[in-house]
Amino acid sequence: MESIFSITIVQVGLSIIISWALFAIFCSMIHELICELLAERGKFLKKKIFEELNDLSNKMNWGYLVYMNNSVDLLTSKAQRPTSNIPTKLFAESLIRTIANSHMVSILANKNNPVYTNEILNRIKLATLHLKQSDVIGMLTQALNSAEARALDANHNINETLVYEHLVENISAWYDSVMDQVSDWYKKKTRLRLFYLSFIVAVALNINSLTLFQFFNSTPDASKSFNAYYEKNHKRLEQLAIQYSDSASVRDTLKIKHSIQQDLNDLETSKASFDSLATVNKIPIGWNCPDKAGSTKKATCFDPKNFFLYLFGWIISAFAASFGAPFWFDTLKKIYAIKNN
Amino acid sequence: MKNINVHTHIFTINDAPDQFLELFLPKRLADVVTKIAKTPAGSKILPAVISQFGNLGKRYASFLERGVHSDQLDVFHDLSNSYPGEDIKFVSLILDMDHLGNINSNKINTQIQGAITVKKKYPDNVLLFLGLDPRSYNSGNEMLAFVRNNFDTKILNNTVYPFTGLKIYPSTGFYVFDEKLKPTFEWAADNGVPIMSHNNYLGGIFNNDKNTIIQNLKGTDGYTNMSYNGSYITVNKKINIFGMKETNDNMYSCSFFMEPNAYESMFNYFEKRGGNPLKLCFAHYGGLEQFQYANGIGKKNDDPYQKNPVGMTHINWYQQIKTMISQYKGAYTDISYMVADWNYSDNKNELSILTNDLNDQKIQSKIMFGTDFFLAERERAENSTYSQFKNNAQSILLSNGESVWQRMAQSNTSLFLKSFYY
Repeated sequence: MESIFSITIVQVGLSIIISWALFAIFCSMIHELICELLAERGKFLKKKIFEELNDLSNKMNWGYLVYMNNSVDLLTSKAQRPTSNIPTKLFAESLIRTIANSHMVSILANKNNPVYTNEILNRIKLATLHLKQSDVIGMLTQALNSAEARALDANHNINETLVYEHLVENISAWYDSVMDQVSDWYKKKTRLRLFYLSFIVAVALNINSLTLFQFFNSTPDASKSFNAYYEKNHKRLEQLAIQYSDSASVRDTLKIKHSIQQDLNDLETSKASFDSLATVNKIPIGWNCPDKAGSTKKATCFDPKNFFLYLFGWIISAFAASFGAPFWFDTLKKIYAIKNN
Repeated sequence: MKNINVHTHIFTINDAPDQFLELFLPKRLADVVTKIAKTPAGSKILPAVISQFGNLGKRYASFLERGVHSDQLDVFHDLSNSYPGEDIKFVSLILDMDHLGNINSNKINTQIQGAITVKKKYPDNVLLFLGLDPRSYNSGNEMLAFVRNNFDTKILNNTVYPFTGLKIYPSTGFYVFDEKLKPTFEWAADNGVPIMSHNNYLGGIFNNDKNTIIQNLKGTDGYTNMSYNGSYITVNKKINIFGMKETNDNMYSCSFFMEPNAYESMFNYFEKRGGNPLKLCFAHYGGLEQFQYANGIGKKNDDPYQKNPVGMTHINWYQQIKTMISQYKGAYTDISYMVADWNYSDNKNELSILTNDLNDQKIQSKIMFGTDFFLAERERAENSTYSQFKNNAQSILLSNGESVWQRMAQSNTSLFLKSFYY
């Protein structure tokens, strides 16, 4: 019985998916380069921390002050390039110290009897008791109450060292959950932006999914060559896809760190490899088509009469790229697993 | 005696309301401008473009330039780096910008804390003035409690008072005679605490909500219990593009709030009250254009609103301030912003007028040096303003043998700042 993978339309479909995967890698690399140049991740993280720690009731943005804290400030090389990764424990301890050492809480410490002998803990307790209720103070109160409950011994004596440790743990857990949320927001933002960027690249390089479909359908050799290219290079490509992905791990999205030089090198290498693949197989991308055999006339890959069809083709390419390369490589992996079995 | 720059700012764009630009531009345009401003290229190009749009444009441009700074420490470093090798103190004014229009912001405590962080690092060089707005408090006593708590809670292991003075910005929509300010001003007078008030005719930030302005222009004088009825001004000189005509009208109308005349009853009250006088500085000496207009120098100015300034009296603001600083013991003024704005190739005019004022016995101890960093940087770099003015002012001797510089940056500033807290 003939394998389903030898049917032309399936081979064409596979070639199209491989093209989309390669295009997605290329767009992700450009996107990553832009993000690095603009320090997007660090700015996004900073903006979200400012939003999460904006305490309107007390007219205080604790996030802004956390960034002024020496420990966090040291992670930032330049004011315009804030860090994209604040380690959990460092953040929790910085937030505690920022609140405890604020002038607002110092005023409370001056006016009220101490609750704890540990000065920092005492000030945090006073903040939870006397500052106006807000999301931030609510979170702090909950974190402290839970820490106090956990630090009670059998005789109902409280161990202040344990209270502090549990407080750090509780705020760390809160920070981790916020970071997961922030990573999700960043992913969503990235996906939409990747679509726009991919559309611009698709138009600029005339990467039209409809034209590609017609081409692979009418050129079985190119289709086979694409499949062979994938089979030969899939490990390297998958690795590259994960490296430039925003969805490899949600928690790590904001921690991904590339150097601009590394991005440029990868982009150059990949472009050369994709160019060679396209040239050898005479793939109809770009504005000047590869010369047809025997033709003396320079062909163009664009026909203005079919503008809306082209537009549709570019949109499909951009939409496919916005899914991200890992999605397409994952799909290919599953298909090839079935094929090889 | 140490040199003192009595008028600087170190806040950042983070301390301004989130929708700051929306107060002055249509929402969509403001959104676009704000987004562009946040890109590295935009933060460089936009200030240059925006600064072409009058005084407010210049101030917002300065905001945008400082916006790239992450915190007040960075801004302070920029300020101190403009004075290489100089041992100088800076009065850094905290602005309460929470009530600039119909959008209420809640940022004042963040700005205060940011400024205190700078003070903790440079206790000998930074003198903080706490920003006040009566609309932020339910009562005068609540405001006084806030002020006292902030002043009396020492920093750096209980060794240093964090604040030296108070700052008010009436053009954001309140009168200085607001009864909620009265208890705090009485406390300030008793303790010698100085107050800095923004009084630059048609210059600086203003409230940009017509309804709020109309409502607040009708005030009751907390010192005389008499009504004080400022009126909304419609200036027929601009075409209404993007609602800019109303913005312009709002700017003119807010002049009522800071017209020196509105301060008379308060000064009279403190004169009669006895004890220490209330020390209040009319910042900017009324503004450079009023200064030049009154003295017949500078650009030829046919603007009827410079000739007859908006307010209850229509008297030139420089003249009003000059009269009041001679009349009231605690009234002062500074030359901030105008010192960066005047033409230094031909500054003999301004400086000679200042010298005459400083030779006038009645007001010689009342005029101080300040620059209005960073808001004045759109006019001239801080370093240039400082060094040029200092060089010129040092070479001019007053009748008592002191140089203009010594008088303005040392003697007068020290006198103004001297208090229980400094």
